[in-house]
Amino acid sequence: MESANREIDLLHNLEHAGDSLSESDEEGVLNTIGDIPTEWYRDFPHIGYNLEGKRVLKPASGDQLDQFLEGVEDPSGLWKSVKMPNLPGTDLLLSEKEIDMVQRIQKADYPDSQFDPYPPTVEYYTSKKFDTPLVGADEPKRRFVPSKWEHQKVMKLVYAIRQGWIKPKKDFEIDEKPYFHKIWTDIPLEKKDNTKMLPFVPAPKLRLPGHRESYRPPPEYLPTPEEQVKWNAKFKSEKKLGEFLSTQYDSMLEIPFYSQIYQERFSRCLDLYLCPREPKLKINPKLDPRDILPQLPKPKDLQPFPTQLAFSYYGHTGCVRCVSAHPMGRIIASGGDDKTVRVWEVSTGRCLKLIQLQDSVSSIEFFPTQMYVLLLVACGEYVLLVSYSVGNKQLIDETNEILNVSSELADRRGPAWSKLSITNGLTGIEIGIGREVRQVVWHKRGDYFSSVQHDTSHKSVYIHQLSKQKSQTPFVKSKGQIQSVSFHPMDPTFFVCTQRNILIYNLVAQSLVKRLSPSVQWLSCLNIHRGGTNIIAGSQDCKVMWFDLELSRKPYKTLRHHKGAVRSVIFHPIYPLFASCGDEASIVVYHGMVYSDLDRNPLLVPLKALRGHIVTGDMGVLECVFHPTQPWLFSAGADGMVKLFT
Amino acid sequence: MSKQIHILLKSKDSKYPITPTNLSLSLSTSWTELNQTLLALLNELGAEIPSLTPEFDFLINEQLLTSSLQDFIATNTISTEQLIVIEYVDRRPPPSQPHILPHPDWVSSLTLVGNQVLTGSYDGSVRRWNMYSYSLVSEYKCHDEPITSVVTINDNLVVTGSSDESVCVWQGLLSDEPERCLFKGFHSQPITCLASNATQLCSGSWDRTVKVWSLTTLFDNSNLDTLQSQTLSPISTLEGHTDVVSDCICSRDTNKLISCSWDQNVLFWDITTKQNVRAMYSSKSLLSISENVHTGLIATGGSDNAIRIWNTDTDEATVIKMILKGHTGWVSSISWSHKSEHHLISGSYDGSTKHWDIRNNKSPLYTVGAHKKKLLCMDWRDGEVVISGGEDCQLIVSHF
Repeated sequence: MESANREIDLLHNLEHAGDSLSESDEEGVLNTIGDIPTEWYRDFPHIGYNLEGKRVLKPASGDQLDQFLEGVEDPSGLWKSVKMPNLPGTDLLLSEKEIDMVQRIQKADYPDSQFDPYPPTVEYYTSKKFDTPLVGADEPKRRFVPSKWEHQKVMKLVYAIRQGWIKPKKDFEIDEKPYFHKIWTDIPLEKKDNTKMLPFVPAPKLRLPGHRESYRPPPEYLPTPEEQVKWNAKFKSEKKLGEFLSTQYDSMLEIPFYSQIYQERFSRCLDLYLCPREPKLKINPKLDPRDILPQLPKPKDLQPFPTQLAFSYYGHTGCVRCVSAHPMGRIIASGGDDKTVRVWEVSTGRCLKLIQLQDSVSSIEFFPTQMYVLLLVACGEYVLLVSYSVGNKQLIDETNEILNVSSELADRRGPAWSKLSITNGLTGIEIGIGREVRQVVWHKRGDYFSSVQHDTSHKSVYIHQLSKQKSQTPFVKSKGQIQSVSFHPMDPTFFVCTQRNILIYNLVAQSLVKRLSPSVQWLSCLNIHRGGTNIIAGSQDCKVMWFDLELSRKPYKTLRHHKGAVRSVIFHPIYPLFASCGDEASIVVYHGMVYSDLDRNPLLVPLKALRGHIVTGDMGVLECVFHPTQPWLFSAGADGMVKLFT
Repeated sequence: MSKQIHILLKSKDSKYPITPTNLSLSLSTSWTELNQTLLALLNELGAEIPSLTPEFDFLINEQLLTSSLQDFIATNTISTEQLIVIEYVDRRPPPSQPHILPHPDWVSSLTLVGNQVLTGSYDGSVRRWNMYSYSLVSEYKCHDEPITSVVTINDNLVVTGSSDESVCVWQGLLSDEPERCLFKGFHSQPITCLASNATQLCSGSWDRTVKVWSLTTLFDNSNLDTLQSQTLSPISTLEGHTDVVSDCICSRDTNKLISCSWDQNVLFWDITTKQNVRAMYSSKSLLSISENVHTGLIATGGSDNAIRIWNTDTDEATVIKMILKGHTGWVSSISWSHKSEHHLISGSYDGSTKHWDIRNNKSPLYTVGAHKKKLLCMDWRDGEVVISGGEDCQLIVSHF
């Protein structure tokens, strides 16, 4: 309201601009030219137009002398007025308060004289120590260490930059090539990228109605009275979707209106609305499904490997449980339920030696080097070290020498080492275990050997030392039902295969190194690759698993080529081959290449299923062994045969 | 009306005249018809025909005609426009009905000496058999361990190799004199094979070496009667194989030795320099080897049931000339004919001996499947007799 009055006054004053502008200072004479910048009128004598359209002339601005004289006349206004930039010719007289403010600003002081920059502080926390402090805790450690979360955040960003998820801005590297439309060419522009658009999803095709769906079906489609009764007895939930019973009507007119049509249509629309409209990825029918399979080398290119049955070693009268090949490759030994151990010549199949024992043989192994003619045999409740006396006379003598039991060691704890109780020309040592021995295995150097018993206590595994003729149990606690054990080919590491897990122990540190847990029901056997970092294990539920110890605790590959329980798995000592045999009397030979290059995973290719044995008493092939120098395989079958595959 | 072809029948044998004119025959002519045609033609020409019903084999481009002319021309892509020269040779007679001799133990090796046969057995004995009366003449237990190889040096001396790692030179095994071991040589592993010619004896072993023993010292020694199991030292030990030496032979070049091994290689050794001169590689373990005295071709039997014929004349990589397939077991022994350059006999673990003509690499000429079990050794004198022994404790003799 006030401003409006002031404006009217201004107008009045402007009409008499020439008379006295200076008198109207209190009234605040203002220009009415509006918001027009004054410099537009800089070169003109007027500063605007009045209501009648006449020019309003610029007021005469006095010079410095005039101002001084003015000030002499009226000292109250001296040095106290300022020129208004948007109102030329008008001076604004400043009040005392305003002058004070201007002076304060000039001094870079607070404009308001009332403002107190230094109010007394309210000391919520003081430097003085309280007698009863508010917080009693010590300074936390985090105040002194770099922030972990900041570090994590930074590392996340660094990782994202390295991965290329975050790209630093390249504002100085703009190489946008100019794009020219090909306006004179006939070639159509490239197709628009339609990937963002929703694809067309065709509705599923419905089967066309047949005679049964007819309102007047032929009589053979009509339900019999029994079917009618059966249908009526059915609950609604028992009826399948779309299932109905044909009914015959004489004419279209007689067809009753479907009582639930609206309900049905509604639910159908609802279904259509809610159905997931995801296009199904269909494989191109022209595509050969074999192309999708990983590219494996052909078995033909992975020769040599055993491909056919060469011949059999005849002689055993019962199930052959075990077979072992001599490190030289000239002879093999087998043992079985007929309580014999037979030594065979590989190349001809001649039985060179027959050793009659008192109990059935469950496991057998040749001495791992050619130093002794020594066989390690698991026979009933005994572990036997038997000289088989085939070969060099000097070797036989040396073997018989180490098989002398020293009498001073007789009264020791643990299993007793004694001379063979049966003496039909045999020299050897028997170690009474007290439980049925399941497996015997040599250490690669030949001084130590291990035996596994049918026992769930901690005494289910013994490690025996030949030179000191003593046995000891490596475990204090029971590890459960131990199936099989094996020594590492180079390191002092011991592999134990229990029912569910494979445990790897360091024998020097006497500690568990690793636990492999394949998710199978019942492991049965394991074998260590000559490098020591790869293991194969077989299970009763028909699986063969390959573990890469450097990769994972889970199997690297699980091979399901057997239809029966896997009885034995074996690596070839030279060739990149391994084999497994099972209760369905087949042997599967695989190519298992382990690369020295750490970046490449082992290459496993199934090569050949060898058949030849006959399933006898639900047992097929019980053990298979590779020839030490040739790509040949020996198998021990429940049908009483040892077979050679070449 | 089948197509006509023009042929010229000729023979390298001087007893048969060359048919002067070209013949026109139907393309579908079989071997029997061709045979009858030739017989009629020879009768017409008045050639002297030795036997009553002679049979001929026909060779076209050095390939044996086994099927009808039509099939042969189709498989070998021979032009029917041109004149086809057919060479005819006497057909080999089929082997006689085999004669079976019982043997006390497995026969691991045998060798033909005149009208006698020496067999080495798994019971460590060497037995002498007469081939006329089919009877055992003498028996002597030479080793405690199985004998793996028996060879003769001359009419007097016999060498045995055994699983007890020794090579023994015996006197008296071929005659009725008392048997006596003259020399003994040792390997560090069981002996697998022996070979000898007039000047040297070589033995292969499980210790992966071939040892050469000099026979000249043996013959220089005039008083053989005083020797008793004297230890013989080898003149050279040839190391190069990486697995058991399965068989070795003295080459027709007397300075050379050829050995084959389970390590899939055939190695040639120079005896004077004791060096490995040449190596030939296959892809399967080799069990037996034989050299053709006429052409120098090498035949090996392998653990893949195949016979490989190696060409030694070329230095190329593809030295395997052909692979003969037909056996169903390991080829344990192999022998070239001494009379003909094209024929060889192989014995296999499937119990059969097969007679091959290498001009026909598809199928054997004859197969004698007499052994019930593995055939372990076989010897052949072309035109006379084939004798084989094996796991079934039988010596099988058939005339050839």
